[in-house]
Amino acid sequence: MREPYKLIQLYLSQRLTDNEMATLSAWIAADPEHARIFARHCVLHSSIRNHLQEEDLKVTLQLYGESQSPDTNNSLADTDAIGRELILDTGQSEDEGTISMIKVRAERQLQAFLAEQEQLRHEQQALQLRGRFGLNEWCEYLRDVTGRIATLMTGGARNFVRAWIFASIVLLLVLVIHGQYHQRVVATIVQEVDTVWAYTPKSRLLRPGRLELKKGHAQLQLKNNVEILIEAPCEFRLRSLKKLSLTEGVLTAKVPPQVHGFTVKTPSAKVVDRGTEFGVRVGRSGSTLTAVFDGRIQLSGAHKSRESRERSVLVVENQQAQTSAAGKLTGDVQTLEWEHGFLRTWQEVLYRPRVSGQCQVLAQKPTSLELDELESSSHVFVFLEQANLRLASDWGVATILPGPIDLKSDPNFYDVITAQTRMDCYMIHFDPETSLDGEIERSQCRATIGFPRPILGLITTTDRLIQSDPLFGDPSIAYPTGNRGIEPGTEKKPQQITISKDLKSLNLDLAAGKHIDQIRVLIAAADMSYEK
Amino acid sequence: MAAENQDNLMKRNLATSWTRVSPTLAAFVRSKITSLHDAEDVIQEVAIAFADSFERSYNKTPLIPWVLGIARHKVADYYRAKGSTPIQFDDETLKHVVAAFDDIQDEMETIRNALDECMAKLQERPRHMVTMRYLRDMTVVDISERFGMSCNAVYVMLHRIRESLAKCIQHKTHLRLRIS
Repeated sequence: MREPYKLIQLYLSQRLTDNEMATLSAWIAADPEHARIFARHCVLHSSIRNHLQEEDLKVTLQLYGESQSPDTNNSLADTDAIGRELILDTGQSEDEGTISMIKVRAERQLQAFLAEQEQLRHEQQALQLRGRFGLNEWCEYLRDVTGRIATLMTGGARNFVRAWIFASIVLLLVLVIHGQYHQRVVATIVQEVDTVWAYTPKSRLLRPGRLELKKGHAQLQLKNNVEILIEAPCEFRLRSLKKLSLTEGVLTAKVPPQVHGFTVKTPSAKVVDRGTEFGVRVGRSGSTLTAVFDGRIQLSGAHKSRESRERSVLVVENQQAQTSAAGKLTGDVQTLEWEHGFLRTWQEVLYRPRVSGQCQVLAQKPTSLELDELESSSHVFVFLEQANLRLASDWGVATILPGPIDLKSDPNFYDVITAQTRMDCYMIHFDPETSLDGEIERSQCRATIGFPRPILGLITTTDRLIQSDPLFGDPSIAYPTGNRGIEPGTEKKPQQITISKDLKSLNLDLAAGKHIDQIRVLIAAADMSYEK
Repeated sequence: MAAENQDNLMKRNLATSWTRVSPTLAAFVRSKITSLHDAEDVIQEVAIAFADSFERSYNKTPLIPWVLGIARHKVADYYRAKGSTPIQFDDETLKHVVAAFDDIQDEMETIRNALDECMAKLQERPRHMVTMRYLRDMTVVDISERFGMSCNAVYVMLHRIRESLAKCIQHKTHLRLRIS
């Protein structure tokens, strides 16, 4: 039977079954205090929304510089609080003077609010009658001014001044509209990790303008629900809800079906969405690689020649195309090559390792890692076993230091990963293929694997791998029980594992024989704590 | 003149009564309707019905049970229009729930103030999730895609966030929210 607290949470998520509802009802009816606890949780659930709405309103008011008259409501909560003080009987005796002061304040605020509403109503009526921005009054004033000037001038000069004034008005209007257009919010920073911005945005609400991400990853959502995932280093400019310029760096865009014609412009290309998910990579030279993961895009070069601009290609799902720095389309549309390493989702940002050399990242976990089940003579495999695992008790590891790991001596546990530490667990697996006559190819694999966060521990011996399978492994995977650790290398079969200076990468030089080579890598989890 | 004064007085009573009941009403309706925008539409309908019937019912019926009674019917209408029949409390349980909301009227302000402080302590990631769910009214499916998590994991995370907040509020206010 579920605990009452869990039943309340399921109730608030509208996920109770009939039986669970009956259990919750019985619990509520059993004791008035139970019913009050339930009601408090409903109040908490509702108050979270109120709190966030008020915060959002404060941000909006700050951004648009609403002036606060001393007589008007400074806060909705303030008025509510005064209202409640007025109405609720707290059961305590209050100083009469205090009560009177509260009532007077509430009365003033109410009158001020009503006066504001009346004023707004009059102004709206006046606007409807007289036209936008009081244009007619302004025109009248200007006519008056120009009339006075005109009386002092001859005919030709009069016309010249009138034309000049008219041009100035038009220019001023254009500047005001342009300014208003560029003040509006077009996007929000939804999430970011390890970010360093060249100019840190003042808030998560972004207006049209230039942004430069020097480090980390960020996810933006435009107001029309276009999602942009940015990887540093990246320099781009938000132009509007439908236009973005990418000067240098990598982004992926996910465009909802209702948004038509979302465009990414680079120094050498123009990518127009036709209902899709795509990635754009601009190199330092300005050349552009565009890859389509879903749907299709229209790609054209940004070369000055009309021929280049007119020649555009349709790139569809699982295809890529390139433009040179000069803005010309180079070659034909090709099948997408995955080693370009676009990150498509926030989960990939948090968990996907960066690999080079003879290594392949598995998006799906294998069902078995036993001998001959996941073979390759040309590369090692790496995949995420578990994410955000909280360690129940201390776990001993060899101290992680930059440089090569000593595989010859027995690993002593010089360090401890303490209980409650959150971490992600990866498995590196190397099992060369067995030929039909039972011969194992003596394979050497060299690869570099970069993890999103620092390495906390490495498990490289057979005993410790077997011991750690129930703790760090995935229960759906069949793990081998035989020899599977990393043996010290020999002259003929060198083996080396080197940790990078930033403790985030492993350089592997592995030579596998008839046994599997596995390394379990424990890294710090993405920040998941709820309280400071 | 006297009629005008009477009218003004009734309007004032309506405003103050509404100020009193609206947090309870919001808590009641939002607990029953997952979509917060739809919940607010229903709250507005309740407000209209409340205003229409205020003059004949004022001072004749206890305020909270009366407005929650209206809300119950409006919620039922909402689900009927959607063509679904959610699992709801029976009449007997509902009486206990309504009585409990009436009992905790004085605690609303305290809970809200404590929540303001507790929300300030939330870390970035849970805050994002809560903002998506409670401010932007995103569905769990949308949130799960955004975070790269399963729907169940999102539900669990939201439950844990509310649990953290409940613990924090209980610590600050000594109001019982935790069931030990």
